[in-house]
Amino acid sequence: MIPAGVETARETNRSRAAVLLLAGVLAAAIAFDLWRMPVQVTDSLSELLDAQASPSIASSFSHALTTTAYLRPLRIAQIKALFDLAGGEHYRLAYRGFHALLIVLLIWLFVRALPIESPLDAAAAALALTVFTGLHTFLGFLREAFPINHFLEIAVLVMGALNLTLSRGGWLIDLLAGIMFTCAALTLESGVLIWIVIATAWILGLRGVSARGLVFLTALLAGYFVLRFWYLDTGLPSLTERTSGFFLERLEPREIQQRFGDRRFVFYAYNVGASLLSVLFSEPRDGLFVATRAWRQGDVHPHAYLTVLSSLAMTTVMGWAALAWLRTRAPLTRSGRLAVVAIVVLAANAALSFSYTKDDIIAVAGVFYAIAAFAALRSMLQVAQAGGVMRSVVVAAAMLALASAWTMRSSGVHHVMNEHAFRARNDWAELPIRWQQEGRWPKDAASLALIERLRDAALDADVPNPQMAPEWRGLWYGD
Amino acid sequence: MVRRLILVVASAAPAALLGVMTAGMLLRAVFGAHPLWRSEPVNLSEAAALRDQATVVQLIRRGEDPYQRREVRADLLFNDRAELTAFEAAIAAGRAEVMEVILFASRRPAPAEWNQLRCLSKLEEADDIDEVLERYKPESAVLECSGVTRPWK
Repeated sequence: MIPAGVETARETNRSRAAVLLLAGVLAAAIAFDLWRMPVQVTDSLSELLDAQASPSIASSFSHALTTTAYLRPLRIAQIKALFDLAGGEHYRLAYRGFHALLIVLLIWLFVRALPIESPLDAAAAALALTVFTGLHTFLGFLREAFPINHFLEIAVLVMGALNLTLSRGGWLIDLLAGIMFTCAALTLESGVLIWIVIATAWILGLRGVSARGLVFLTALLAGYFVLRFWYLDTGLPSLTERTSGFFLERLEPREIQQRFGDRRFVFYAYNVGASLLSVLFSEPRDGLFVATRAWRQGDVHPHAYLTVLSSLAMTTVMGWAALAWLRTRAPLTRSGRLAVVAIVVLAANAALSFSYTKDDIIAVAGVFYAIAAFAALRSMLQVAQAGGVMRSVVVAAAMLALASAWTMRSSGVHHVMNEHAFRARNDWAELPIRWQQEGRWPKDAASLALIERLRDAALDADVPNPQMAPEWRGLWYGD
Repeated sequence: MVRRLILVVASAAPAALLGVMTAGMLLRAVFGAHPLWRSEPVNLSEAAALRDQATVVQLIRRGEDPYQRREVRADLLFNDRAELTAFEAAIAAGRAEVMEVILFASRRPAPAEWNQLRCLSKLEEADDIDEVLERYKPESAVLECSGVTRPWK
């Protein structure tokens, strides 16, 4: 006779191991895809040439402090560090290897944060994993790298911070939280989400980072604002920096200035709202209501139905779980607390997207959406289990449909990465033509040698042509 | 217990199936047979028809002649197979960027070769390809399209 406590511990271990195994397989497959992608040209080659020209990492860092509108010195310093690490030869190993490592880390940190104690929890976690990897914002971590995917780095650091709040704590954890915040905030603006996560978690009783640690982090946050807006006076991005989606149309910078130059808050409010909706309903995308536009034009692909309906269903489950909790007012469990942190991160990440709405920028919120999904699914499965047979069967049927839809979305990751690898490789083929036409083709031997090496590597890469893939893939997976 | 089993299976089965299929995919990748990252060999004309500029450049670098006609398999560009040069395939596919890549990566066309391509582009009313070809026009070339017909049906 095995004692109940031992049996429970075994069940917990088995459940966690099953989810970790699934996560490991999915992470390995995505890392493999990343490894097959050539280093990209767009928004990447210029950075590599700058890194080549820079004498040192410190020089790259200090030079980046003098830019306007943004404060991202560590972003540039990291590109230089990996460039030096590549040793003039192993660029794919350095950049794509780092990219693959980051995605494996992110998936591991995601699973690590979930309280999996039973087979029911494991089932909710398995479905949440498909939500995590199937949500369109996840693709923002994979499709592009500049030449490092900094959005992915921020997500890793934010998830790392969440895991710190779930730890047993100590001065080392507090110090680590401070280091992570500093690295993230000096890489991208959304790095300040680390403070949001730790502060919210602390308020909710997840105090792996202590009160002392939170004070330390708050001082760092204040320091960041002082450095950025007072000492360096970098300011904010202007309206005219990029094209932007606005309801059913894409606006050029000039049009944005014309329409919103004297009422910026309307444009900013739209960006925040669009970012929120994008995570909750997979529509709009990059600020543009693409599925709605396709529907108006009578040209809706199955992919649009799949993404919007599966997100609508998942968000409805979350809404139900929130209402159920509000009715009972039961003390928040760990997964409930994580769901509250997720809601706060979603709101904060959307607010940070005020000047520019893009799936990549809201990608951290996408990770937390999947955490909220876990909490909601877990809650629904527990209620179903506690009810009658009929309730269990109905909920099981609904879960099967929901899980199938999200699994379909998750399986599309590989197709989308193939599409982008194909485009990246073609960009290298066209590069000399484009840059010569634009007058950007370098003249110095070192730059030309670097371009030649990277271009040769990209052209030699074995990338399948997605046009030879079955038509259903494009229809169901999109790009 | 049965209720829990039903709920666990219904919620986790699709993800578990995805896990098994992904593991199979990875296993095949170990032996160099990844089902998704497996390129089907194409010739230069087919690469041009399929908007695969990178493979076009790669094949030209390996010495393939874009002025030589090759078979383009049925259903890649047309329902039936066709014999086309890479240039003709780019025109038939309406891809100005592919045309430019071929012209950039290979020897300049002779006046007669240029005339044939320019006339085909004109027949297809492909303005963007016309523009590209005009940039690579040999000095002595004079556009004369009488008698030029499409080499595809």
